[in-house]
Amino acid sequence: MIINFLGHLHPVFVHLPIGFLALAYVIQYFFKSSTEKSRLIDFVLVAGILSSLLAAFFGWMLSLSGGYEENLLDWHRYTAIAVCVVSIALLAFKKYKKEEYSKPYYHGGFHLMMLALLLAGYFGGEMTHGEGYLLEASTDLVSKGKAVGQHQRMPKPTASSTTSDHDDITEPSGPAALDAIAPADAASIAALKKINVAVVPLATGTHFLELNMVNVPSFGDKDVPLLLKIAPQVMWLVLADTKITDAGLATLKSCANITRLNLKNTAITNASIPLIGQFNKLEYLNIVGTKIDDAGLLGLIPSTTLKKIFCWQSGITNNGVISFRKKYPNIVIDFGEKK
Amino acid sequence: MNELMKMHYENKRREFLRGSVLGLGGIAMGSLLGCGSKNADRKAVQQVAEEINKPLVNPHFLPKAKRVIYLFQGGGPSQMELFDYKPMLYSMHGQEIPASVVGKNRISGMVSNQYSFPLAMPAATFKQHGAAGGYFSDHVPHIAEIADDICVVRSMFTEQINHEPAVIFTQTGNQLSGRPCIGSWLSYGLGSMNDNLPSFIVMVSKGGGDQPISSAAWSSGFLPSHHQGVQFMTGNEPVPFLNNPEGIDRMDRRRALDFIKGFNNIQNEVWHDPEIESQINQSEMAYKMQMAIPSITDLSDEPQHILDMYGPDVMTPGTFAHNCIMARRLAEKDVRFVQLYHLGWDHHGSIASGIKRATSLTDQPSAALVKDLKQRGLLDDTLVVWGGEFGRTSFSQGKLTPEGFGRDHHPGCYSIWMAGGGVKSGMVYGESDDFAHNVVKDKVHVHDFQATMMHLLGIDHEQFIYKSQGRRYRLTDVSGNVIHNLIA
Repeated sequence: MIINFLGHLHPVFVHLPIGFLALAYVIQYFFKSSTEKSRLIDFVLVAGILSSLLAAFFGWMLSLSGGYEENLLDWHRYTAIAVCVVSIALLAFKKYKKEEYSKPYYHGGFHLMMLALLLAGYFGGEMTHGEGYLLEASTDLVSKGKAVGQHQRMPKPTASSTTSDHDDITEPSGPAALDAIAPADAASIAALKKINVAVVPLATGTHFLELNMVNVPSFGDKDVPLLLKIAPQVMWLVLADTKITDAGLATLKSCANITRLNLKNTAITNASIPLIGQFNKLEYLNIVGTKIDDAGLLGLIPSTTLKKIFCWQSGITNNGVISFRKKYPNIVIDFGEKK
Repeated sequence: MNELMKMHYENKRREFLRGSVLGLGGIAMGSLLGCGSKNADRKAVQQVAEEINKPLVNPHFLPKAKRVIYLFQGGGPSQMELFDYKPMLYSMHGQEIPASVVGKNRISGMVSNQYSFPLAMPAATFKQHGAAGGYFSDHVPHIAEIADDICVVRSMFTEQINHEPAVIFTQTGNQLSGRPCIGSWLSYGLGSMNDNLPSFIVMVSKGGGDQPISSAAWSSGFLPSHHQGVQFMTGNEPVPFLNNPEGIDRMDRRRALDFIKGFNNIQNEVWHDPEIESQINQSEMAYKMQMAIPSITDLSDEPQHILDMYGPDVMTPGTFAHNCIMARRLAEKDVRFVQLYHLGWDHHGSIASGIKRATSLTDQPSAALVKDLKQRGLLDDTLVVWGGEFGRTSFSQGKLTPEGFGRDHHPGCYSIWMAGGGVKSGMVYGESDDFAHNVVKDKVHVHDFQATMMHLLGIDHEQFIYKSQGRRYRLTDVSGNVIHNLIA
């Protein structure tokens, strides 16, 4: 507990040495030489050293709580220690080699301290805000100043705080690239959950939903109104093995963002084909075991996004599939094993 | 008995009694003095644990796979007799394996005393199949038929050379048992779509072989125990005691469960032990399974041509074929993770007959499962994995005789295949050397495979972490790279 508390003081103290030591550097090189200047540098250096020791101690405590990229942590740790060591050496050199403190060693030490300070700050920033934080911002600055901070993360909680030399975070891929959409109506979600419909957000940070009726085989046309209010958020809709009919499905035309529609083993007929054609983001259509036949399949004007149709055990015949393939060679249509 | 001996025995008795009294007394005293944690402390600890360890609920990003069927082939299927065609082994049959090929690969204790390591040609013939022209042996004609639907990975390698640690390593990411397996991680992280079935079901087929398999392979480790794999039995009743005893109806059962749940809740208020919640969950699940399981296990609604597709064993409960069709039925019900274990791939001797037997039991059902999932539109979001814990040596274990030979365990190179769930289809990934002994291109470590599997399910394996006993754990331990080239 106490270690945790002390660790949390690191952000409080860490900016003090940055300020003090940078101020010492500014005084050294931008102020005219005088006795006051020398004394002022002494004072600011001492303040910088003390605060850097404190910040380093609290930083060490913070590192014990884990959760940081080990590689970055190591760099931050050692550059911060370098700041302490170099600033102490600088002060000692200045105090005990008074006659030589204008020599190149002294100036070299000052530049080294500043460099270590910048690096320690840089690695600290990388740890806190994510790798590439600074570089990303600079790139964005060059290329018409895009919004920065997309990479902002909490300390990365890797297992056992060990090195991670790669980054597998992938942007959400797929349909509509999960465009921004308003949150779904909470009351509708609650009502659907009450009748055991699985309502599952598709991914973290999106309001698009999968609705799955696997627990509600009795789901039928009468239940469809429950999901009308959240129709825009529905992206994957699994109505397989339910009692839904063409009439119920017809009311779902507001589900404009559907990409996967599973109607397996339902009483859906050709009457729903025009509606299915209206889902202009549809990629996957499962009509296995439905009453849709060749006329329905060939009457379908699929959206340009449609990639796969599964129609085994429906009213569709091999001839219908062959004709459809000729018409739409880019759509994979799976007719299944022969009966 | 002499005096000295008698004294010695008396001392032992006295020691025992004294130790017992002090030990038990100490425990009792500790309890009386209230050495245990206070209720509020336990509650606080539990709350902190819950704040740190939150299930994902939602994937990190849009998943390609929603469920997994893992056809684990225990024992170490030989890559050279199945998917990794090596003509060099035919031409160099009987010659010593070059030292440069053996390199620093581990060899097991079973061949460490062998003075000669003669190369053994595959007990199989190979043909190209599918659009990609991948080689498949004559032992797997049915899998060869689905060449265009699967992705064969010929560049797997592991760190373990013995069965138990290698199986545990493949399933949990660590060679020692005690960590959660893949199914438990997914059950914990993504939860279940189906309220009436467990999210993680395990079936071990009978008749495979005598290689044992430990239930640690489907353990939930430090995750709450209701995420461990629920094992279906191999007999006629996959879930025992499913039917209510005579004279007890469903309402009686419900009342009893509610009553027990009340007691458990009272205890949970005192102890705040997640295991009590697991007990409540498991009791509820058992109750729901009473209704759901019969419809899963009753194959009478399957058309004959579908049953035929899985092969002659399909109606025999406990066989791999039966388990495969059960896996499909469970996938249809949105069970998150179905794990099949088939043993009998450990061919230290007589590999020709051994592999024939193993493939005769598994080839047709494995292929049928993929075909069946595909025609139902399920393969699209179901990841099927077929593979074991390691491969086998390209040299003979023991003497290479005209009557036959065997192959020892080999962790340095082996083959698996995957299908559906966002994996590229009709593809052969990775390459081994001319002896199928070392991976020479596109290495896939077990942790890479696990990371890729997680990725397909929408999970960033580096972000999916559970803190236990002061350390953060993940399935891929501290390594693993997603193999993006495997993903469609």
